[in-house]
Amino acid sequence: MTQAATSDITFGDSRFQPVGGSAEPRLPFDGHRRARQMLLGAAIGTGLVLAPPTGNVQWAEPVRLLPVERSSPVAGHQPSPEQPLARRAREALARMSSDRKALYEEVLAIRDGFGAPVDVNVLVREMREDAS
Amino acid sequence: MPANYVFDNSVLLRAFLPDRDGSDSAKHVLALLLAGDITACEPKNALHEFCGALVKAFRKRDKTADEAVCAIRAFRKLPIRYEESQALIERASRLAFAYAKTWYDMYYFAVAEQAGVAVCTADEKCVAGLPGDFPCEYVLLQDFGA
Repeated sequence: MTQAATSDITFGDSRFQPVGGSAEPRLPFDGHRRARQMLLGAAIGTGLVLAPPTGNVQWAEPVRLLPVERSSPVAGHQPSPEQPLARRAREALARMSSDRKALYEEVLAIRDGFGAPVDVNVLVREMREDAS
Repeated sequence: MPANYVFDNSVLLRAFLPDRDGSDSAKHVLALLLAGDITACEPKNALHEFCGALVKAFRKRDKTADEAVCAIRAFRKLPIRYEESQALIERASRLAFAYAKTWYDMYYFAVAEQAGVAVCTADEKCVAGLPGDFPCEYVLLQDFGA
């Protein structure tokens, strides 16, 4: 009974169409084949290479990224627009007096030299608690 | 006539100390302030708060006293007008009671209210829950200049 029913199944039978996937029939053990492909890809990606004649496992040189030249702008591509505040600041810097510019640079040097970021809001509230 | 603002220390300190949020905006505000495109008035207390918070941060990171003093000197050179009066102190107290906020936060708003300008803050907690009829204007740093 079961065998008779199976022999009636043909590709294209709406009862056995994959849902949300390819209509191509899958080979037996297709899942295993995919898993092998994924493992091989991961091994190559991490520098692990299987030597075909002996089957020995060797560690190859780590994959090195080649320098990539910046591509030319794509026609029609629009760079992300500058934020209004950033644009105003850039314009302000351009016409700032030299002594003010020096002060600006001094403040930024203090900030950049401080190290890892702090949570300023928490810092202020802690300081107020210390003071009270 | 440049626009005038009251910047609380969540903004001012971000120009001197790196924070994951808002440091770039604070840098831009600093540029506008130094160029004279905007002006700032602050409660006198802001200077003391700034020094207290900055010294606390520098001590935590094993910076030297000289480094902290250098930063405070730079802060003192900023074109900021400081305000202090008995009326402002009392107004801040009343605002703190009326809106369940700290006196420190409300002191900035009292100065802003008197000057007829907005407070700019990077601390959302400072303005959280304020009603629509709150008597002072404010703007979050992330929206400043947008």
